[in-house]
Amino acid sequence: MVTARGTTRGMIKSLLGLGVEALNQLNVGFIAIDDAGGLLLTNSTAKHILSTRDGLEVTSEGTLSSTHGPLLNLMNTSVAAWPGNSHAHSRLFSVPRSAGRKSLTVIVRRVVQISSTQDSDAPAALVFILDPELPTDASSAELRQLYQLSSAEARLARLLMEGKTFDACCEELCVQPSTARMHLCHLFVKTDVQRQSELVSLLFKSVGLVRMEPRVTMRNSGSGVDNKGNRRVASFRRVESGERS
Amino acid sequence: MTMPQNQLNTSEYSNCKICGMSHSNGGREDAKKCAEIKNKLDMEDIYLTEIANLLDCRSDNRPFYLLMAGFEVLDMLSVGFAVSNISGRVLLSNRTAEQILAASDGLAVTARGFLRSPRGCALSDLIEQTANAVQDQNSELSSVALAIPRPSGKRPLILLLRSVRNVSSEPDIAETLTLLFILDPEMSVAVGMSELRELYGFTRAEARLANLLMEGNSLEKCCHQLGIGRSTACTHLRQLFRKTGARRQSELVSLLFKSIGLVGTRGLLPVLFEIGLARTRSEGRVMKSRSSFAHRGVHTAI
Repeated sequence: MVTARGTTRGMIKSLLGLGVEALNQLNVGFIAIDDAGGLLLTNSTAKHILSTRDGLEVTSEGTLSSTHGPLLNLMNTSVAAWPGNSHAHSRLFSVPRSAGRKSLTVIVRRVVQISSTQDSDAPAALVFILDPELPTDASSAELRQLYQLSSAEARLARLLMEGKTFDACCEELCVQPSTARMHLCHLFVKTDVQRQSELVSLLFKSVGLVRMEPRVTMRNSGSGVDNKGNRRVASFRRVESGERS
Repeated sequence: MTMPQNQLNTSEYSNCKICGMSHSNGGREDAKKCAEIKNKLDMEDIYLTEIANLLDCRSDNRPFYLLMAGFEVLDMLSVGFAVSNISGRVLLSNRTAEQILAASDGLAVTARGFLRSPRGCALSDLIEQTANAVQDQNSELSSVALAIPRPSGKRPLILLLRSVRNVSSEPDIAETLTLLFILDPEMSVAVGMSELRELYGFTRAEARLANLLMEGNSLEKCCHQLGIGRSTACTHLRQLFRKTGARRQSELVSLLFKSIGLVGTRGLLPVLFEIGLARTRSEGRVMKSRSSFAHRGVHTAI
């Protein structure tokens, strides 16, 4: 991270807040956990994945654990058991889920303590969760802006990004294969690619990581539920406890 | 992280008695200021919500660590992230954004730290427009996607602008900041071979092919790059399909992106650990993970 020259203290704090907002707009689940395995910081995508309680869940002790296969405490087997050598910075888990659903990819990365003082409250590890079943949420509007797609083309692009076959796309869009083929040809021309898999790769590289539906306004923060439903399990306790008339 | 240590005093994360806001977020224990803050709270800004969530009722320095952890994450991502003010000055940028900006291909930063885009992009106008849209609570205009052409002839950079209203009462930061996501479609997917092999049990050759397909290469190009015949490539591809459960090349690419491609971990050494019963591992690997238990006693935070 690099900050501009002459950045004031107050500004840095604002920027930190914006960093958190950015994390919430990503398609990747992210959790910071402490030494004891407690969850310190959870972004909205991770909250959503945990809320399904399929694959990973939060135990009654407040730690992460796998819901299928041997009940394994992720923390005890990752952070507390880090090998002494400093080369092992991250670990990869494939966490199985209920029948028919693709496994979660979990990457646990050890955090190098920033402060000079030892603090047990500091995050001990960062956990990334990737869910292949999660829709990519690419908004048609932004796809259209980027590549000047028509709305039909943008819809097809979204379905292809989800990994749908061409035939499945036709079915879902209720169009004839010949119509869909025409849309696909236009997609190829507008994005300058030659193949379907190249198109999928390009779409992921250009818009796949950032969730396309930013939640800029929030009307009912007191209840902690946003207009997108369960994506955000927010609480706004400071306002609740404040003396608001 | 290149942030001066002395600017990160954490003692200010305590709450104002009047408005309940943390001092860092504007609480001053000053009736007039706090009334103003409460007014702003009523506007229910999402950015404020996030800050409040984080700093929620904690007087220790936990939030600071959490925010730092968040910064660590942003540095690990293969998406460029930057924050600019309304006049287009870059205030914060992560590692990927720095790389893209340093290349000065399409998007660059001037010596004074302002974003510069090629003629015709009207980037500064767009930043101003999205910023104003947020101020006016016009949510339709507060998110803009922009393709920025590059002189080098590479694929255009993708720029996503998202504004958030800043509600701090400090005069120097009481301005609208814009979140910028900068994506480079030409950037290679930062997926390590070992991760692909661990996740799906690919062989080395299969992992190499999978990686090239993720980059958007056609099968012919992959053959050429790997120096193998088409029939060999087809055999590998069939194995990739079998091991991932995908039936088409585009489905395979989509799955690989969704399961591993979105987080860059290249340069980090992942350690295999058996969880659940996903796949059978070679005995040597299991032994390796078991032996790591022995180190539990020696674990210390570095």
